[in-house]
Amino acid sequence: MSEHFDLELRSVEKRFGDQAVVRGVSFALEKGEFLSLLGPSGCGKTTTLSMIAGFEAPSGGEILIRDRRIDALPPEKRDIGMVFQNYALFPHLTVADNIGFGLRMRGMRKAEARTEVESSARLVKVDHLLDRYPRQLSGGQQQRVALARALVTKPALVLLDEPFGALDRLLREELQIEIRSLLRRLNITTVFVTHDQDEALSMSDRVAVMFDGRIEQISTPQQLYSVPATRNVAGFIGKGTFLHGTVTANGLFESRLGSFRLPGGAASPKSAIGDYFLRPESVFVTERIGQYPNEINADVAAMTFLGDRQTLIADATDGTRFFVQVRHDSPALPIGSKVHLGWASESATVYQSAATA
Amino acid sequence: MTRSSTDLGQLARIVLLLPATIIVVVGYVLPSLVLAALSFGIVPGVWVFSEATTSHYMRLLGDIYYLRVVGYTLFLGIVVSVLTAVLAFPVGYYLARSRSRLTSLYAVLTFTPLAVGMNMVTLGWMIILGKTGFINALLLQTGAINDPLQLLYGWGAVIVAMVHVVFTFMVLPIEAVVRQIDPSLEKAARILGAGPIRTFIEVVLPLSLPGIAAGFLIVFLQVCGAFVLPLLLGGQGFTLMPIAIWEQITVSFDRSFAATLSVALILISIVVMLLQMRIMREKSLV
Amino acid sequence: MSLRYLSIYSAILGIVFVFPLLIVVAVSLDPGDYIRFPVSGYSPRWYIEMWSNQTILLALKNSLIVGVTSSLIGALVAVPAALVIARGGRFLEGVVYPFFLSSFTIPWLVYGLALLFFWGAAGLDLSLTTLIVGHTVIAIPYILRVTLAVLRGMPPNLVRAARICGASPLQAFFSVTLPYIRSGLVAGVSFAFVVSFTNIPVSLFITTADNITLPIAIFNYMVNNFEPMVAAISVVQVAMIGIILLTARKVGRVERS
Repeated sequence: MSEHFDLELRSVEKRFGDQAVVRGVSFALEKGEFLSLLGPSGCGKTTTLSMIAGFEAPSGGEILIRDRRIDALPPEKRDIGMVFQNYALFPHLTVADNIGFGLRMRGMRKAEARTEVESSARLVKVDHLLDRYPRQLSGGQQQRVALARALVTKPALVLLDEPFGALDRLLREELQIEIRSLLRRLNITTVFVTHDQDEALSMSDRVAVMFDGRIEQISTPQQLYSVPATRNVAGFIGKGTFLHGTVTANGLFESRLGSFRLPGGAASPKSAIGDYFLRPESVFVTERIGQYPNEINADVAAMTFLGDRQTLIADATDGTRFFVQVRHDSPALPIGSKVHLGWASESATVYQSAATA
Repeated sequence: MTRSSTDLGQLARIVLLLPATIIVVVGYVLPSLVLAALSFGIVPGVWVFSEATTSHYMRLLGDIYYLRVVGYTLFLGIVVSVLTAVLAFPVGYYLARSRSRLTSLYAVLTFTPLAVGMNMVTLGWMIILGKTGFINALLLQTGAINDPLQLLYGWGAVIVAMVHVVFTFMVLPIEAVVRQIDPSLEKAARILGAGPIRTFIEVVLPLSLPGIAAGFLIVFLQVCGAFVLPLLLGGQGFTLMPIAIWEQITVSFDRSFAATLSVALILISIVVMLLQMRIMREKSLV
Repeated sequence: MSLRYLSIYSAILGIVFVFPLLIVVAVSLDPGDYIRFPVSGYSPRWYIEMWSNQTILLALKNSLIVGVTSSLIGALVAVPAALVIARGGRFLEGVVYPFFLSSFTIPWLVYGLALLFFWGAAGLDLSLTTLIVGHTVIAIPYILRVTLAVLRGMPPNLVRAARICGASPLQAFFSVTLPYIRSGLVAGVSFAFVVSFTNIPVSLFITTADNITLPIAIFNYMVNNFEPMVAAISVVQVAMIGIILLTARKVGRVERS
């Protein structure tokens, strides 16, 4: 009684020799869903994408597209569109022939394919460039052509392999918005590989964060940020402060900086070693002592101005570095001056690593 | 190495490598083995194999005539290599440093002797150096001499023409290596007080040695294997290894000894190559 | 070093290098019976007479057959091998590749001799076929090296892109890889042709009156008689090489403006 999924991975494994690169990756995408595979380099995200595309054979597990096993099929039989890093446009073919390549490989004649090439080109706004060669295009134009080539065959699934890496920031953001809305309009299921968390958070319906060959968390961008499932995820997404210490049975977290209250539900029947995590926007500078249940003293190390906000960087007495988000118009605090920081217990996240004896 | 489903399977690899392998095995490896066998007096027939003997090698090592042929070949190799290196270095340096568009034309020019073939080059030098040739005509007409000079036949003619032929093999690696040398190194040396000559000797030359060494090897091997040019420009009695081999086949009809001389020539090439690799490694040029 | 002095030096050396070739052209127009300088006059006499020389005509025909066949067979076997070697790996780089290049290291004359003995031992008569085998062996390294250099510079995602667009391995080769390597391949094949078309040492021992090649015919002529016709034939040969190289350049040029 399986639901209908456009793409499903079941315990997919990849080993090179005795080295496991992907370990038991599973997820399923509904029609039109946009999933990002996010993680540091070497986490297995690119290998996972290669296995979906058919460039690498899985060492174990199953891959299904629209409920059909495809892991034994060669890439050309999988009905997938793909945009590559650096685009991989064919240098000897015009834009029109690049876009129409997939149609010709499916036995269509050039003249027949022309209409579809043109409508595909119009979608990504390169219909005025059809007779040019790739080397005559800007990076952004090449990127659009690559997308048109991936979409022209109306594939079940589109794969994007770090497609924005080679573009400058402004162009990148413009294209991200445009491509996302285009894919949503066409309702195309997409897997997007990136190491850039901003890209992943801003474009995705869901994000899968990978470390060391495993998916540590797969959830919406909002959840990923506010409730990171593991210490790795918390450290990788956004900024924050980790305190190392012990979770006690009486609802406290004891560290070198003192004892802090655990958020509700994080209490443990036995005491355990763990990490206490705070986001910059959960920590506040207080004037009055006793305003927050958890407070510390710190020295201002720096203030960085980011336009819409500022980040206060302050070092606690044991050297732990705190990041505090403050308003963009807050007055600058002199370096070395004393500040008092506080936070609500519920805004902390606790990761237990091991039970203590 | 990563294997993937778009990568070639083991079977595909074998199938793709097979045609070239067959041609090289049948057309090169087997003939080389037959040659080596013959040098020991073994005549490989379909059924009959004769006794092996080292007598041909003994003859080569004991005959002052052939030892001299070997010596001449090595000597010519060294002279031409050194001369070419000296003549080609300024050209290679110029090609590497100049921004002129004529430099690509120059590359074509140094390459012409190979494109037109040895016949053409040899003929050209015969006409220039011959008794009724260009230089003698020039000198006779200007009255500098009364009787034509004997320019053709002998070391001089062979060396000049050989340098011409192998020039491109020396220029290309030198040009490539000089291109790798950051021009600011030379400026740095000058700022530090070295004159142009000191700069060349202390900076440019040591850094160019890998290129010169590479050119040296190719040139030396080319000279050792040269045949048409030394035969026609060297004249009677000017015998190098390839010419000696040719004489065994066409004059003495001694196939077995021709094979022995051939193996000796290959051995010389291998020794030179190993020697060069060793020197390069000791000077940590690779 | 002052580049201006170097450019003058290089130019002088360049002139010295073309001079022997130009002088052959001058002599080829001499209507006299022996080569001399200054030439006795200018006439197309030898250019006309060479076409009634049966040996020369046969040799020219043979050389074209051997050159074209060996360079094309060389391409047909070297390109697939290059595709495999380009994937890398210690065995391919360290053993297979040097094996295909090994004929580079042995003097050509010695290789020709080995072929003579081999065909003798194999009981085969010398023919155009036996000649083509030898020329193919020496063509392979040239074509393999150029093709491999181009393939190594080719982005690996191009073939993957073709595959994901629906191309089978064979379609991907013909529609993407082959166009990509075309100019390099044409250069390699035309160079291999020139090597065959001018080769003397390999052919020397394995040509007979029937399968004689043009360079061997010219060489025999030069050894025996020293008349301007040799110069005329040489000039015609060089002209043919020039035409072939220029055509190859045109064919090999990639039309992406």
